Amino acid sequence: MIEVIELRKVFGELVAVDVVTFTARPGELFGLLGPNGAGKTTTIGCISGLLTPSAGRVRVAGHDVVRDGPAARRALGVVPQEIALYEDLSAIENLEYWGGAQGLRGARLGERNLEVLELTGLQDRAREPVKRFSGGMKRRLNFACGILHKPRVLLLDEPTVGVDPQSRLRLLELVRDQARQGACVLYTTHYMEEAESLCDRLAIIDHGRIIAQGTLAEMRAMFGERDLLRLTGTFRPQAVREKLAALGGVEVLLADEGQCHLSLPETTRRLPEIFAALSAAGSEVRETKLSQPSLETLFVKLTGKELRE
Amino acid sequence: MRRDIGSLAIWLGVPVVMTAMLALAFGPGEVTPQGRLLVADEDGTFLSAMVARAFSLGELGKMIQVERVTAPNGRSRIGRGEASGFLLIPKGFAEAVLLGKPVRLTLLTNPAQRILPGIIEETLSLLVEAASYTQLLLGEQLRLIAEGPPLGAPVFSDRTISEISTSINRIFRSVGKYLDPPAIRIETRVIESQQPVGVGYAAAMLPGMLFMTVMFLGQGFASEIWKERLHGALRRLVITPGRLDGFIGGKMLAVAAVLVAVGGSALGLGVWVLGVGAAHWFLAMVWIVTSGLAMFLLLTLLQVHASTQRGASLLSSLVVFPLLMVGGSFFPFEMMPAGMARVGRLTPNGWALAGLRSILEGSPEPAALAVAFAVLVGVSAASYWLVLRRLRRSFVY
Repeated sequence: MIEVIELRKVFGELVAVDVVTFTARPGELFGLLGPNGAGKTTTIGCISGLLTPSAGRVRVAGHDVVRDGPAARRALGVVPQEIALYEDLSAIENLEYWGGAQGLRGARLGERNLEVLELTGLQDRAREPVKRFSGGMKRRLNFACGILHKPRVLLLDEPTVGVDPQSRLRLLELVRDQARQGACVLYTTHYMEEAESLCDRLAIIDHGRIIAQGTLAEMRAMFGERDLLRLTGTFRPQAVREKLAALGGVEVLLADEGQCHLSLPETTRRLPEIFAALSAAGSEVRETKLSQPSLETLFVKLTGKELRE
Repeated sequence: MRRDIGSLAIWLGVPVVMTAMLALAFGPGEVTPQGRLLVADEDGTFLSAMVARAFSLGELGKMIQVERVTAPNGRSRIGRGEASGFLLIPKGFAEAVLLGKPVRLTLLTNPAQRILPGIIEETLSLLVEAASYTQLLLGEQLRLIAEGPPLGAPVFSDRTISEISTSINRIFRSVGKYLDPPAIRIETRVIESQQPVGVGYAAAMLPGMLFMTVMFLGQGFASEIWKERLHGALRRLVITPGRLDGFIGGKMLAVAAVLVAVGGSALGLGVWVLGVGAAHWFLAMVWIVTSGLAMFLLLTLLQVHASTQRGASLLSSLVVFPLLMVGGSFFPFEMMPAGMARVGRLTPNGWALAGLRSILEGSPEPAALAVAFAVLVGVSAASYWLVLRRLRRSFVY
C-alpha cells in the first residue's frame, strides 16, 4: 500500500508538490497523470525515498519512507523511465547486480533471475550484452530488474516510452500480472489510452496539486455528456469569450491567440452557431477537432492543456 | 570494465607509447644524474678553492655542478631542496690545515635525493682523509710554512727553504717504497653490464610511466560515475536497500584489482627486462595500490563536483595532464629545472612517484614510510567521505 498524506515538497521558492494526498491499495493499479512539470516525478521521488518531503508523510507498505527508509525500500520496486542498466554487461549479469542490491543472494537470486527472464521473454538472450538489445528488450529487462525481489509496492515511471507496440502490450500485461499477484502498482504515463485500459483508479496532478481523483467511471462522470471541441487558428481571446458566453451552455476551457478549447453538449448540431460567433469575434478557424468524453478530454478540461505539453 | 577492453587498452597503452616516444627522442643512453653543490667559501684561500674545485674535476664534474654562494643563501636553498648539497668552508680553514689544528667543514645534503648527496659526502670524506695524512707526514714543514718567516725577516732565508725542501724530500724517499709502487695491489676487473643496451631511459622512466597509468586508470574509473548517473543506475541504486558506501567500496575493489595486475606487470617488466632494482617489491605493490586508490578517490571527488559530464571530463583532463607533466611522469625529476622538480615533488602523483622510487631503490626509512602510508590512508578516507557526502546530498538526483 502507498499512503501519501498532505505531501509537500519545496525547492527554494518553487513549490513542486503542494499538499498532495492519495492512497493506492494492494492489488490496485493506480495511475498518476499530469503534464510535464506538474509534480509527478517529485511525488514519485518522495515515495521512493530519493527526495525528502518538506512536509507531510509517505508510507510504503506501512513503513514511513523517512523514518524507516530501509524497510520501505525493501518493500519497494522501481522501474525508472531511464534504461537504468549496465549495457556492457549481459542480461543475467544485470539481474545479478540489481538482485544483489535488493538483498537477494545465492540460489534464491538464481531462481528469480530465471523466472523474470522467462516472464519477460528474454531467456534466450540472457548471456548477451544489453547493448545488443532492441529498445523494447531493454525496457523489458529494465522492468525485470524492478520486480526481481517480488516487491509489494511497484513504482512504474513511464515504462513504455519509446517501445514498439508488441513490446508495449507485453509490458502492460506484465504490469497487470503484478497487480493480480497483489502488488500495489503506481503507474505514470503520457499515454491516455494506457491509463484508461490499465488503471483501476487515477489521480490527475497539475501545478503540484491533485485536481481530480477517482475511478475511470467517476472521472468520466465529472465531464458529463459534454464533448471537447478543439479549434486552432487566429483568435481574439476576449472577444471570443464574450461572443461564446452569449450562446449559453458553452464553456470556454482555453482561449488564446492560437487555440480555443470548448466544452459543450450536442456539438455537431451546434457547430454552425459556434462558427458564426467566432467569426463575429474576428476569429479565423483553420482546424477543428471534436472529442467524445474520455480521460483525455477530462484532462484537457481540468488542466487546460494537452498531456504531452 | 570487464567488457570495456578498449578503455583499458587506452589507459595502459598511452603511457607505454609516450615513454617509447620520449625514449626515442632522448636516445637510448644511460641516464647520468645531474646535481648541484652549493659552496660557501668564507676562507677565500688557495687551499679552500682547491677543495671546491675538487668536485668539478674529471667524471665527477659531469655529474655535479659547483655553484658559489654565500652561507645564508646556501642554507636557505638547501632547505628548499634546490641542490644536492651545501658545503660551508669556514674562515681560517687553510691556516688550520697547515698548522694541524682542528677545523669543521659543514656539509648539508638533500634528503630527497639518494645518489648524488652520497657521492658528495664520499668525495669530501676522501679530501679530508688526504689532508689528514698530509698533515701526519709533513706536519712540521707545513707548520713552519704557515708560521711564516721569523720576526723582522721579510722572507724565509735560503737556509730555511733548503732545510724544508730537504726534509720533505727525505720523507718522500722513506715512504716512496710504499707509494711507488703502491703497497696495495689493486686488481681491476670489468664486470659485464647485465643491463640490455638501450633500456636506460625506459628503466629510468618506468616508475613515471607506471604512475601515468595509475592516473589514467583513476581518471577512467572515476569518470564512470557520470555514466551511471546519466543512465539512472545511481538513482535506482539509492532506491534499493543496497548502500552507496558499498557501491564506492566495490569500485575501490575493482580499481585495486586492476592496480595489482598493472603494478605487478610493470614491476615484473622492470626487474626482468629493464634491470630495475626492486628491493622491496611487495612494499612497492602495496604503495602502488594504496596511492592508486587515493588518486581514484581524489579524481572521483573532482568528477562529482562538476555540474555536467562534459565539464567533469574537461576538469579532470585539466588537472591530470599538468600533474603528469610536472609530477615526473613525462620527464624524470633529475632532468627538470630545480624549481620545477621541487614543485613536481609536491604534486600528489609526484610525491607518490618519489615514494615508489625510494622503495624500489631499497632505502625507505621505516618512520618516513609509515608517515607516508598514513598520509595516503588519510587522504583516501577523507576523499571517500566527501564523495559519499556529495553523492547523498545532490549528485544522485
